[in-house]
Amino acid sequence: VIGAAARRGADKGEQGEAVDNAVHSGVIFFVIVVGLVDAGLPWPVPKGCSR
Amino acid sequence: MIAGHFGFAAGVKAAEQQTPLWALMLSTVWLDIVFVPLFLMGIETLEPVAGLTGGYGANIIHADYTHSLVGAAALSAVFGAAFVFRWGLRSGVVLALVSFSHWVLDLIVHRADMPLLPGDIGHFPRFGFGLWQLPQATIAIEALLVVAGAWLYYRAARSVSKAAGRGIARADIASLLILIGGLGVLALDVSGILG
Repeated sequence: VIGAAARRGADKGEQGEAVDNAVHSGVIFFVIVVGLVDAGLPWPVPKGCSR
Repeated sequence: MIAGHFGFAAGVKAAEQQTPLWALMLSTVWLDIVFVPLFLMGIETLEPVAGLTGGYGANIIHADYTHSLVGAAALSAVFGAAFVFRWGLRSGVVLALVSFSHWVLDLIVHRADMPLLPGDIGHFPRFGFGLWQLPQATIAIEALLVVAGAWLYYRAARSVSKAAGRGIARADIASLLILIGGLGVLALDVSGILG
């Protein structure tokens, strides 16, 4: 479960929380980058719909 | 489990090419996204398994709303419905099903901590086959989902790029990102850095 680290981050103190935040930001960044690269591919688009 | 969900989403993209990958990836972790604010509010909680200190697969997850069977189905339906008007009924249904696939994959790994009804109304028996008790097996399944998803995506992306006469390099990059990023997320999860 995403967010599980938040509790451990609190247990580990501010440094641990900073690491957890950085890691979760990295996961979000990963999804955004992959999504953007994928969006440039010539995939079929549903008729009458737009991206 | 996080990386396995992403791998599954990439595999679905190969079959449902009209639905954007970002939406599939968002849908596959939608239940966890809703979990975060509920967790921060203390409505849903985590509890380390007795004798363990938490980490990869070592928590009892009291996500009684987002990860209840009925709650997951309702959240998935809402997610899919939100995209019907933009991308059509088929994509909406696909996104709803991918969102619900999160519950199905979690069913395999969770210890029996997922209730039938939101808030565990009625206190029915909880679901979860508990594969997390065998972390190596769970890691193998997650890695397999990532590799298979990246491979299926690669084949589909290459195919549409070749047919269109453009985007082949982009297809390779996207596939590589899915593979490396997915395995990276898995490594972070297993190491206990990512929850």
